[in-house]
Amino acid sequence: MLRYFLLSRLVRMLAVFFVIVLLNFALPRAMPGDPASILVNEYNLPAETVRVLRTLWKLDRPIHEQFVAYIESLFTGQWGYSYKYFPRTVYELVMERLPWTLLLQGTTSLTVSGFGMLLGVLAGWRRGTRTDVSITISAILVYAIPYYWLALMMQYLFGYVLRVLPVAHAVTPGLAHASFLEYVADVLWHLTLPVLAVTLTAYASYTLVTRNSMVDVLEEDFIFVARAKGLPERVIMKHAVRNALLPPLTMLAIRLGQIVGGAVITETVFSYPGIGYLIYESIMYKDYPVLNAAFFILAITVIAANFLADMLYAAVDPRIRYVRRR
Amino acid sequence: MRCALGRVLVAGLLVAISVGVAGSYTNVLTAQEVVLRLGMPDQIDNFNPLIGLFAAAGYVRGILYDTLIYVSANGTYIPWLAESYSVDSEKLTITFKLRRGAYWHDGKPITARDVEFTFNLVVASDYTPKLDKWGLRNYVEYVKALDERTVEVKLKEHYAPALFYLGTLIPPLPEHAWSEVDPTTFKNMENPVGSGPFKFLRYTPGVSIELVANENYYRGRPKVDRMVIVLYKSTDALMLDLRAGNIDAITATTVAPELVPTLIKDPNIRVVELTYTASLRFIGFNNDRYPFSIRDFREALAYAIDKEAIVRTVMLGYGYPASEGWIQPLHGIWCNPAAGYRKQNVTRATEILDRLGFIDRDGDGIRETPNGTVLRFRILTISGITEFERSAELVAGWLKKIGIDATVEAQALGTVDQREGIGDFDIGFMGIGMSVTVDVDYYIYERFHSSQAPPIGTYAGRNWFRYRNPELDALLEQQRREMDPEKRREMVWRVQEVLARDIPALTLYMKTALVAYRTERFVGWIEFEGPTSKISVLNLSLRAPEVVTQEVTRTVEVTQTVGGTTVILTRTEVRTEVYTATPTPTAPPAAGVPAETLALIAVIVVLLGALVFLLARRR
Amino acid sequence: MTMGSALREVLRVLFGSRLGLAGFSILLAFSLVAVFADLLAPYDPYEIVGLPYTPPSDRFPLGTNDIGQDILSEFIYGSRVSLYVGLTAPLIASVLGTLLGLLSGYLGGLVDEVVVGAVDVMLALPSLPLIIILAAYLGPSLNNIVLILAFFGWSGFARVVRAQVLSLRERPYVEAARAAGASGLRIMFRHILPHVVPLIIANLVLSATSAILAEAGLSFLGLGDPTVKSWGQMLRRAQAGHALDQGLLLWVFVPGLGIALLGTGFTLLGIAIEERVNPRLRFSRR
Repeated sequence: MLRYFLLSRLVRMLAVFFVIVLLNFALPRAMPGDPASILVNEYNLPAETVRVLRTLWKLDRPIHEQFVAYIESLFTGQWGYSYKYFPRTVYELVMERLPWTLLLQGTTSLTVSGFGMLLGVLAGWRRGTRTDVSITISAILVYAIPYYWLALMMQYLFGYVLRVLPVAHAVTPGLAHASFLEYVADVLWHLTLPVLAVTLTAYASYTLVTRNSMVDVLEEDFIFVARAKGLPERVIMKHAVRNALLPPLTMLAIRLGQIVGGAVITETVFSYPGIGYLIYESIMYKDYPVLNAAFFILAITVIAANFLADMLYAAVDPRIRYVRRR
Repeated sequence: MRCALGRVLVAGLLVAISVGVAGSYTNVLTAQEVVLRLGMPDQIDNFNPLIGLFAAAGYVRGILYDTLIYVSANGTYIPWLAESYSVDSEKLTITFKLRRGAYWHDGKPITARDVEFTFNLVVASDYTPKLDKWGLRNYVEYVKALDERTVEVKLKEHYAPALFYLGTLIPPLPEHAWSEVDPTTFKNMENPVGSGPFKFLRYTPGVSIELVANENYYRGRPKVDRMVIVLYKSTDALMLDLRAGNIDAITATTVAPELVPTLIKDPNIRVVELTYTASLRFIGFNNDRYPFSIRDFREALAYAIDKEAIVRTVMLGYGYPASEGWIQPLHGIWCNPAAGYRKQNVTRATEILDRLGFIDRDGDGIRETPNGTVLRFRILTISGITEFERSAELVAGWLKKIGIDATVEAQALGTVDQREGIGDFDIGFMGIGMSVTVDVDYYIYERFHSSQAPPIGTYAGRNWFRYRNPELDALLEQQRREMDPEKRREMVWRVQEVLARDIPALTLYMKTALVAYRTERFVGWIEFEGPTSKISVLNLSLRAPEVVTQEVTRTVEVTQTVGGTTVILTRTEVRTEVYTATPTPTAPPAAGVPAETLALIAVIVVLLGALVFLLARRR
Repeated sequence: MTMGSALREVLRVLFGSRLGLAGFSILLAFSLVAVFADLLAPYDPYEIVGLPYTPPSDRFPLGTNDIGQDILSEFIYGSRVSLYVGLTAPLIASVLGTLLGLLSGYLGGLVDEVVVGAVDVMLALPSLPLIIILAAYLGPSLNNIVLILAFFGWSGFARVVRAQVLSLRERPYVEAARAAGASGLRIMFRHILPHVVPLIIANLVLSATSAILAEAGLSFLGLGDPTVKSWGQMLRRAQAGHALDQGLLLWVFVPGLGIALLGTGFTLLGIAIEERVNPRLRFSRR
């Protein structure tokens, strides 16, 4: 059973990986347009430049050679040069932005899921009470709010009217920081608005899922047994929560898998120097090398997140065990 | 066990994030320096003048590297790194004489050998196919350093733009630093050895570029000690910082017209319309496709469009209708004033269409061609650029009014580029930047020469309108080879007459470049050349320390005379908070988190705490 | 299930719970606005009726946009786009997902393996970057966005339906039908499908919200058709035209509110239906 489980997970992960890697090669190249001529027209360069750039970027090679080179570049880590930012290397560009995305998205994932699950557990535990009704209703109302709209509204309030929070960037631009501590404070200060805006909208789905799962679990036999045995409520709650958190944790794992790719809008609204905007730009400019690297990282995070989800299942649900007890 | 693994994963992730984020941490500035702070978009590709593309990085490249000739904003050539230049009587040899006492940023002298090396890199080296974007190798016979300070360039044939490319576009590079590198992939981002008024100090990715004054600059050391070029991800944030006084000027970007009223509310901000550069917006017709192949039909479309209204509506007045001769008034003497533009005249447009037999036969409000095809076209434009979408929408509206069913089709950049290139379009709405500092040949030759217009299906270069006219081809060739400026001007004027007559592509309007700067810290801005141009920056100095008491505020009027032009800088109110008796240390204020924010965070923490408390409470 | 009982069921969802009624009222209000947009809108949303960037006034209750079109009229017409996307994309996704879910659950074996594998892969794919690539590739048009959203939405339906079918397959009445010699197709569509329908409807209504949000997000990013007056487009114009910087708050506020309200309408209705299908989830004890 265990072997079957592991094998099927492995097959699924490989499938996801190859689908992403293949789509990433095929889709941008199927798109009309040529990276060299896009840049040449964008910057009003002489027509001759197109030919020059195509040779330089090896775009004049047959497609199968390009594919082999693509697969090679992925596995050797030689991601090469960006087209748009030529001759800066893809590695350099990605490493400049990835940490910011991880910081922003990591923080929001934590706050969103934490806040959402907390409220969900509370609502589910007090099912039918006024607490439940108010939490659930407000989550339903918040669920449909576009987060970038809330972000714009908050930018207006805190940035333009009250002028207390920065509306853009990850650090104050061009600022010299007196100490590393102040730098950290500055980073956190800039993190406040994006994290708040996303948390206040995205928490809702976690709350709803957690609440429903909590309600389901509370009706299960083992809870009745526990109650009948006269276990203290605190202990019962602990057991219930442990089981009820499976669905929201799965959601969290899926979210973690999407953090690299899902950041485009937030990063656009807040001019955050993350990788989301780089991916968007690379799609528009057909910057293949950057896309290759970005999607490779995407594939890796997705797989890691899935793995994480499985681990979480094991951690939370005692019925699933991958490792034999010692 | 599983916990340990989780902890290791989390810890690893945190370390990776902090290392990455901390990489952007900048050091403290030394106080007591005169620091000029400019804001520009974060578009940095490289600092290699031979291959760089981006305008923002291009500004830095321009400050770091001097060219032999500097083009002033009125189009005149000012000898710069060259003390003088001359063209011989046969018009085939250009001689540049370098200045005395010019040094590279590493202290080595700038010699004629360096110039020879650089030009040869472009026209006669292994890298030529990858570096010579302008086809100079077809015109340059040889480049030779005659002595320490003299360079001779021999041309194979007469080529009028040669001086422009060699003198103003390709800056000399230090041979000792460049002979060992591959110039086609050299980023030049670590200690580039330049020749300009400012030396490279450091580039902090995504944060800033810092330059320091070149002590040995041959035109005299700049009065500004340090330039901090702050990089912005969005122009919105850039404008906010300009308004807050965190930067002194913006560069390599423009002010959106709708923001002008907000900006000029601040008496210390000047918004300037640059005269030497602007962007042309036009619609290109597919001249290989019926009925766009008919000149009169194109003319009818030209009469249908109200160019002034686009300027009013989309540009809020910050622009002007463009000359239909393609070359614009900003090009000075090169622009033929007779070309002008067609004012909207719907009657005339409908008359032409009627005369051509394009009549609405079935009464649906849309005209048909004589053979019955409905006049239904799409205006192809790039999605995501609001100005393009809006202008194209307006054009479509006017075409509908004369009985042509036009709709806007916005596509991704690559799609538009490809479809225009292979001729799969009816009308394409596009834009290009124009500047008087660029030779006019650059704008007209490739754009309208039939050699750039392959048949439909093959990717065309700039002449994607597929306009072929032997008369124009001849004129374009002639003006290129005419070394006498006056005769060449006449030919360029004739080119414009032909283009205005034939309208292969219809120029719509010029979007003026609006820039802004603050007046309270520096004096000497030369608006005419562009506030952040090299000439202007060299002229800047900290506003003289005012001896003022705490209570006094007074008004200062500043005029500046530069090269015969008197530039009046604004009336400025001098405030005690800004000025003290000694030069203010201009290091930007250190980051402080305002008390309000801390309060806000505290409130959130308290709320979360309350929630946890509620949760933990027994039912 | 007869027509009468189905109708009764619908009425019970709508009027039996306050949530359902609230959701239904919101949707009804927006549908009326969309249907009677021509009558309600003070101007043609494509007509330039005033100066650009006019602040709200009596003539223009919400002001004018970047080229002088009336924002209120744009907003009213925008409801059509959001309703269209909210209804069509999930519908296409549900048809596709239901078919695959039915086949996979009922037939099992290789078909099941393939469908389950595809569902797993779809759920794990990083959807946003792929949607952006597809939107850029297929070109900005409303129908392309609908198709893309449907393509990324079917897997959820397939999973839910398959799970339901697996449990229904073993029910005695299905066994009986099989014993009576009913064909596989007949059993699937005649005996199993009707029991899955309520679940599908609940999911359908619930996923309308995410389709509306996704369309608005793509338009906001500039991947929508710029000639279509949608709320996401309006937000993008407001953002590009520095509305907040100029203090034109309503230009940003109103379209976003529209998206949020319409989405809430669908969510409320969806939750009401879900409660009927799975009464354990009900949160107000009666």
